[in-house]
Order: sequence, then structure tokens, then C-alpha cells
Amino acid sequence: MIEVERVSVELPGNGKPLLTDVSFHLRAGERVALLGGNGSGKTTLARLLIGAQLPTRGKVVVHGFDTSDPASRFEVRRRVGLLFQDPDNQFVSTTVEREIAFGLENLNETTPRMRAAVNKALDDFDLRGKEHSPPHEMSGGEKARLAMACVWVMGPSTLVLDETDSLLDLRSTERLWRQIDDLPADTALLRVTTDAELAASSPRVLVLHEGCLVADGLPDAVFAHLAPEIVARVGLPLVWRLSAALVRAGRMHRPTVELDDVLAASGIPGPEGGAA
Amino acid sequence: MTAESILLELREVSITYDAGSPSVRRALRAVNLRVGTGDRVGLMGRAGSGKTTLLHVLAGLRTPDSGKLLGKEKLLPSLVFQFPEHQLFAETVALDVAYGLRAHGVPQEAVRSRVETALLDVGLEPAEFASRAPFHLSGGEKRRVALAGALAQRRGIVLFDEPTLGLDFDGITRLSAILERMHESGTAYWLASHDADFVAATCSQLVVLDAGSVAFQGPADDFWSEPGLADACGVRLPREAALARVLERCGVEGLPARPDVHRIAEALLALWQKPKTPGGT
Repeated sequence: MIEVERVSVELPGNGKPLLTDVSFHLRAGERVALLGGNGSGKTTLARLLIGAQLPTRGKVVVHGFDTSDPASRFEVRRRVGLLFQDPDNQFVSTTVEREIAFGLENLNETTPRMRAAVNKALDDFDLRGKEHSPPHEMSGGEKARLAMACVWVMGPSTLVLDETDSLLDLRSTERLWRQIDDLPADTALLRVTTDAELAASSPRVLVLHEGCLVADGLPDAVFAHLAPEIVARVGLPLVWRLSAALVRAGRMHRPTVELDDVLAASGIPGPEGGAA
Repeated sequence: MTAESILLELREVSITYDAGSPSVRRALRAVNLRVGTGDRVGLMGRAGSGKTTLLHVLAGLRTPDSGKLLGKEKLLPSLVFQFPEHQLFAETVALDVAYGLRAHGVPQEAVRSRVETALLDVGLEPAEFASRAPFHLSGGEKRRVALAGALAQRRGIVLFDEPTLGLDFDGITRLSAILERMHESGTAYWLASHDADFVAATCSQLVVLDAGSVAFQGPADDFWSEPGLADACGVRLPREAALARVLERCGVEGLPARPDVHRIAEALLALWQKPKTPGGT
């Protein structure tokens, strides 16, 4: 459980605050999208959750540990895994194998357990054969998979993905979502994104705009009340736009992000194997 | 493509990483390609298929291990890197955008106006951003600064590596408009991207790489209308195209390969007008 309580972040010499009076709770097992345009404060908020950024006012509490307390830092970081947008920002080792083991070494794991965890991660993230490759010489997609493997082996109880799939191809994205589905049911997931389409697939959407949390709720409720200036920054999901056209034509009562609702309103059964 | 319209040409270009080591990787395998005037080319393919390496060869950053890059040196393209914020180093946004122009001896007055135009093009108000330190900007804003630096140089060809990465809807819309203006002014662009929506909206031709070889080269619509092709090359379909496929499986008829949202709505509305089959459900 993560509690963000009335958090503001200001940097000296930077005119506007990066975050202003932001509050929300992230409960065990929740799947949440954090949607916002460039410069809205998303990455600052993601960094707050691992204690890499401290609040100027307010507090962030991770499983009972206040991130502002230096003695809590280790406990916070082992519980919250943050996957950066640019994987290069998190690599510190000379080989793939050492990079995956790096976090485990800090947990004082035994060598056999570390070896087993690294081997599983190499298989799970399709990095077999790359054990001795230097991380900085790999392709963009391989780096993204390595970064995921490093976060995964730590077994975090909350996973924060900062636009992680923007660098992944189709197969890697599908693999990532299978792995997310396989996480323990009480692992919370916060998916940071600029893309309304991706946000719409989460059951709960938070929207940041100019450092303020302006919406928090179900996707249909959030998109129904987004101000035009925010829509201009993040767009609207395709199915929402399609259903809005059907509402204008008098065939639906309200727009939605749910394709099944659009199909039902159109009187057609869902596709075999589910919607898109 | 006529001989006059060819700006750059790759002949049998191969690149191998880590040759002689166990992690040897053939990034490009005997690739033959031409970059021509007016090109609007999307470069696609799964991770590790050779897209970034190909852009680096075209930009003159990487010499082929075998084969040739033919073209005039003055035509060397600008390249906007995958994480362009790593390109930024100057004290202010204006100095960073101006760097390439100064290095090429562009007169001071021209530098100022080209920097301002480039910043406006990427949606950064010069009065607000020109004197700020690039390192204090957000990730998306840094990307716009790096893009402004490439645009200010006004080369005949601009190469982009994952240009929509980290950009919001507004940034992507602005980037599409910038590409449109580049095309109108005769600048060719090649962009490597996993973002099928952006590629579909901005590119008329596609080059698709698979394990370092050219798996497809031709009109983009030919590629999108062959769903098996995109799947085989590990490439996502644009969202409208993917939705159209789902609707086709549900029995919705008459959708083109890449419809827009209005066309999809029309197809659904047509279902209400369709007479029901007697005895049907």
C-alpha cells in the first residue's frame, strides 16, 4: 500500500512547482494508469514513490515507511520497482548477468539462490545467450527487456512502469503483459503514460495536469469530464471517439472506452476470443 | 526512382557487431536501399532487427563492414537520436539549438531567426524557453529542444529514431505537422519507429527489416492491407486497422484496410439500416 498525502514538489530556480498538493492511495493488487502530457509531473511522481525525489511538503508512505526518513530508503526501494523510460538510466554493470544480479547482491541473497533467480530472469526475458554482453551495446528493445528483468528479480510489491512499452516491439509487449499477469495478485501496478489509449485499459485512471491531480476514477468517468486543454495534451481513446460518434448519431446514450459496449449497442456479438 | 532523385544509396551493406565473440550479431545483411528526394519512409521491424544501425549508416556515423554508402557528402542527413535528450549539453535552450548552425559558420542574425523558428515549430515559445537550462526541462520538452536543433540545420534529409517516444498527443500532433511542412518544402525524412499509428499517418512508403534483411519495401498501404505480413515481421497494426480487423471478425463488412474513426462509425451505423434477414436473429 502506498499513501501519497498532500505532496508538493518545488525545485529552487524553477518557477512553477513540479507537483502541487497531490493525494492518492495505491492499494495492494490495484492496476492503475497515471496519464498526463509532457511536463505534467508524471516522472516526478514516479520518482517520489521510490524515494528518488522527496516531497517539499506532504509525505509519501510506502508500506508504513516514510520515504523522507533516510533509514527507510532501503525498505522503500525493495518494495517499489521503477522501470525508467530510458533503460540506459538504470544500468551500472559491465555484463547482462551482473546487471540482473546487482540488486540481489544488495539483499544479501545466497549465491545459489541468486544464480537460480538470474537464470530464470534470462529465460523469462529472452536474454539467454546475452549473459556476457555489455548492456550498453545491446539494441533498444534488448535494453528494455534487461531493465525489466532487473526490476522483476527483486520481487517488488509495487511496480511502476514509466512509459516502458514505448520502446518495445509487438512480441516484447505481449511478453511484458503476460509477465504482469503472472505477478502475485497483491502486486500493485502503476503504469505511467502519455497515451490515453493505454490508460483506458486500466480499471483506474489518475490524470496529472500541470502538477495537479485533476482526475482519479474509472476510465469512462475520467474521460467524460476531462477539460479540453487536457484532451489537447493526451488525446482520447479510439473506442471512446468511435462511441462518441454513435452517441451523436443517437445510437448510444453515452461514450465509453469499452468495445464490448459499442458492439452490444450495435447489436453484434463480440469477436471470438474477446475484443481487441 | 530516377537517377537524379537519388540522394543516398546503400549497396550490399552489412554490419556485424562483436565479430569473433560468442555474442556475434549480424545487424545488417547485404542491404540495398535508396533514399530519394521527397521520401516519407517509415522504417519498421521488431527490436534488434537493425533499424537504428541502418539510420547510423545513412547518417555516416557507422562505416559498413562490407558494401557501400554512396552519396554526396554535403547531403549527409541530420539524425535525431532515440533518446535525443542525451544530445543536449549547452547552458541554454537557444545555445543548444544554435550549436550546429554556429559550427557551420551561419551568420549571427540568421542563427537567431532560425533558432526562433525551430523552437516555434516544435511548440516551445522562445520567450519562455530560449534562456532556460535544457537540463531543467521535462523529458518531452528536452526531446522537442533536440528536434529543434536538427530542424534548424535545414538539411535535405532528416532521420528520426523513435521520434514519438515520450511525446504526448499534443507533441505527436505537432511533430506530424512539422513532417508535413518538411515534406512540402522538399525535405526527405526516414523514421524508425514502433509507433504504427504515427508511421501510418506520416509515411507513404515502408521499409521493414527482419533480422538485418529487408523483408518489405513499398507503398505503406500495401503493407497494412496484408495482415499476415505485419504479424510475420513482428509489427503492430495501426489502431484503426486493428479495430477494423476485430469488427470484420464480428461480421462488419466493407471496411478498408486502414479506415479512420468516422469510416468505422459509418460501417456500424449501416448495420441499423441493414434489413434483417427473415427468420434471422
